[in-house]
Amino acid sequence: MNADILSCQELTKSYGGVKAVTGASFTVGAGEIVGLVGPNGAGKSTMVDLIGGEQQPDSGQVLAGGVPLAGPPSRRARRAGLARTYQYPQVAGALTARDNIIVGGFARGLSSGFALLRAAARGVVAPGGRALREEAGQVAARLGLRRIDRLAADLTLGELRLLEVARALLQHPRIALLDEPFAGLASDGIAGLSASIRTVAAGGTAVLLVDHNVDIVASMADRMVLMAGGTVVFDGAPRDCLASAEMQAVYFGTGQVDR
Amino acid sequence: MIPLQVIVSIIETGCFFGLLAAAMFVVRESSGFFNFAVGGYAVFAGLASAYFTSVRGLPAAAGIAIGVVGAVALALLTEVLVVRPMWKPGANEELPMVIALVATLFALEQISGVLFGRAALPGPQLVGDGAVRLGSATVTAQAALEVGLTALAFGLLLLFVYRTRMGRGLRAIGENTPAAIVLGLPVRAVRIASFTLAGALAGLAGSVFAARSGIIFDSAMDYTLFAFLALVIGGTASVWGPLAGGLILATIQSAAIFYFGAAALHYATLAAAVLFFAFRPQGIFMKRVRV
Amino acid sequence: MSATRLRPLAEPVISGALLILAITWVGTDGYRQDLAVLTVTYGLIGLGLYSHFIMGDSLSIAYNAYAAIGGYALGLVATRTGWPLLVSLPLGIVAAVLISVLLGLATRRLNGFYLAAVTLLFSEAFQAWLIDADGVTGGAEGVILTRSISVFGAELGRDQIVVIALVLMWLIALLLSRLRRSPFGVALRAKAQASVAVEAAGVPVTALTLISLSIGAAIGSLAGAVFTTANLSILPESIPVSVAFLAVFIPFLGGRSSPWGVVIGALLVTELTFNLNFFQGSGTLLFAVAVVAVLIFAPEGLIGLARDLTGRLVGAVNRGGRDER
Ligand SMILES: Nc1ncnc2c1ncn2[C@@H]1O[C@H](COP(=O)(O)OP(=O)(O)OP(=O)(O)O)[C@@H](O)[C@H]1O
Ligand SMILES: [Mg+2]
Repeated sequence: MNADILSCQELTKSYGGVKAVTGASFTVGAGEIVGLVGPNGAGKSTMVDLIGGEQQPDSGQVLAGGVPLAGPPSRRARRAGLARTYQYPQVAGALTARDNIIVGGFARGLSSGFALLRAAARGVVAPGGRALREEAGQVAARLGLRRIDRLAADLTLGELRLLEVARALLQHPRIALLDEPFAGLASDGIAGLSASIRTVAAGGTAVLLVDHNVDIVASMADRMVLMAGGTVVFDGAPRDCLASAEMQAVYFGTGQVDR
Repeated sequence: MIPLQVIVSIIETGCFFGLLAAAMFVVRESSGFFNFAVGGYAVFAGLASAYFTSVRGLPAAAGIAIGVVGAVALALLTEVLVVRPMWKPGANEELPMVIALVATLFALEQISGVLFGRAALPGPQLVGDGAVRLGSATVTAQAALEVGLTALAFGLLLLFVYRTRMGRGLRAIGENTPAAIVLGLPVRAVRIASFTLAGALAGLAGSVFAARSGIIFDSAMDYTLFAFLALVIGGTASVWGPLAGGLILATIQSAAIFYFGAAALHYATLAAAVLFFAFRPQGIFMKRVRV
Repeated sequence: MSATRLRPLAEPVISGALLILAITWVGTDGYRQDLAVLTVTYGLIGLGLYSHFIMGDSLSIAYNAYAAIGGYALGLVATRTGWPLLVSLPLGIVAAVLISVLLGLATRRLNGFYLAAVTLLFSEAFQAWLIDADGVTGGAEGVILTRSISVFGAELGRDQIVVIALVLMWLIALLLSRLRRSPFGVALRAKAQASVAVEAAGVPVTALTLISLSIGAAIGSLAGAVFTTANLSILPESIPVSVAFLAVFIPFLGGRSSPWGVVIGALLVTELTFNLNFFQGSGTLLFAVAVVAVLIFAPEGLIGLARDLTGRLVGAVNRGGRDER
């Protein structure tokens, strides 16, 4: 076996009549940052949903460490150490940013019905969780997320993205799927976020980085996957990807890619 | 099979549910939330019309008119006193407002009880005891009146929703209220129109159908519940949805009572709702939280 | 000891002091005992709902059923077998939990008012069943206890029952307040608005929801047990379907930010419906109007209102202090 801890094989998914993804395959190795780019509607988020388990593929499969990934998202997170962020942030506005982030850390102790029962029993005696509260603060600080004790509803879109990344990092993932984490970020946020992503990858986590900012992705990624119209049209080194004919075709309009 | 006579009564009940569901429907379309107070308007209208005819001796038509006008007034009051102060467009925080509408339902129920008494009253008889034989069934003048008025109400509603500017605005605003505000559509005016309609429809249902088997103040919650179920079953895709849902709900309930006795009403309604939600969850899936 | 060390003790100590005050106030006065029993019944039902609705956003409202199960379990076991309270109480809890889990599974794809509607229909069906199944439940006559419930061979007097009930409500509010801040509670509250993300983080949200429903049902069953123990009877109309709505209104009235809001709401409801009910049930009218008013003018409930006022007061005092310098 090679070191690919995440492998997508011939994934196909359509929503009603819309073919979102058709026969897409790529891999991400341990400690590797793979950039996934492509125009709007290319199928990037659908790939993330298929890996995470929010959507089921019509055909094809996802392997983690050589073993097929199946079942609901919670089981995948548990089995494969999967963590993800969302293009449309999924946060609880009524909770503080810190409480939202900390859910990523708490999740390890709440991973089954039995664990949940135990946590409830323990929780009524002593709430606990102080160590994770501090870790949440540190992770957020490194990312450049400052207003951590404000309600999540008061944060900007950029801050919400950082919050989601922090929540994912608190899971100590082996595979991290980041869907457009850079969108809407100010420059200091970009710096904190890229440094944090590099640090996790250096720790051996496989990172799938989806973003429209091709320059940032190219500067960070070990490899780049270009999707268009639901298929993978290029997979290789970032420099080769930027220079490729496919890239030209997809982004600079020599022949519009049809949806 | 179900006898023809029972089918006549199913149609009557279905029309009643349909009118109530339509009252909920117009507010849902214009503002995107469920107005759970509609059962209160219906009970108030029913009791008011019954009180003014049977206790005060006014003619039936006057009683019904008082009931409907009262229901419209209550609906407008709901809009002014409850919805306007609590309604935040686009915010995902409509829960407190809808809870307030449920509390309004209870308040209306109690107000009706205090004003018109807590005993059941016979509804106003607009038409005499005449009846037509239809095969093995008897269609009373009252039944014909109910069905006729329901048809008229839905016809007018249809004209309003599809033929008037305000009616078209109704649907546009319910789809996406923040966008409608940006576009400068008259959101408030349309909402007031929809509450007026809701009051009129629920008031008509309450006062006209009260003659069937009388009316009592504490039915408001059940009226709201059945209207909600009818609306969910029929869907909001068209104006006919509420009526179709009302007829389906009435069929399920009457069939259960016919085959299994009166006690089966609650079991059957529960079973129908669970099955319906299990097999047709479209449109009732969790909404994606947008930030 | 530093102030932060003392902080965790503030809640139990302050609430405990209020509890002792309440117990002394009630004393042996029959009327005040009635008030206390009703407050605890409403309070426990509201606290049950707090678990899954206020924290977890599952609007499952079949609380008349859970309370009836707790009450009937106690009454039936006491009248038909010689088994002690230590059997009947857990029996009621287990039965209520089972029902809530089954109902939760049947409705697991529903949320919001769709869930409320189906669980309300369940409430009505259960109420109908209580009357229908007279072989099991005693039908419309219900269950009448001829002697008080005994614990460890000693029959409980009414004075003791009232004290136990008040302590029980205090304890459950305190435990829920801790649960709220625990990992379980934070995950549950996050699930209310972002269930997709909580699931993706590795928490099985269906199990999370079912457990929160079970906790609520267990507390609701205790409410019925308290009611039956104190009144020595349980009938189908003892706990009407409208209790389901009461349970929803109570936390909004008192304040949703803490289980203590439920206790305050329950106190208020008891005061309104019990004291004013002499005038043709207008207590319910006043209560409904009060709920609407609180929702409009004090969205955070009475607790939020109090917090606002003290905040302003403290602010004014602080400003005054600074001006002097
Ligand atoms: N839940 C859904 N239901 C129906 N169609 C969908 C759904 N999700 C995605 N699609 C469609 O599938 C296609 C791929 O969408 P996807 O979100 O995966 O693209 P993307 O590459 O992430 O685009 P973007 O850069 O805009 O985020 C699009 O045509 C989209 O409209
Ligand atoms: Mg996308």
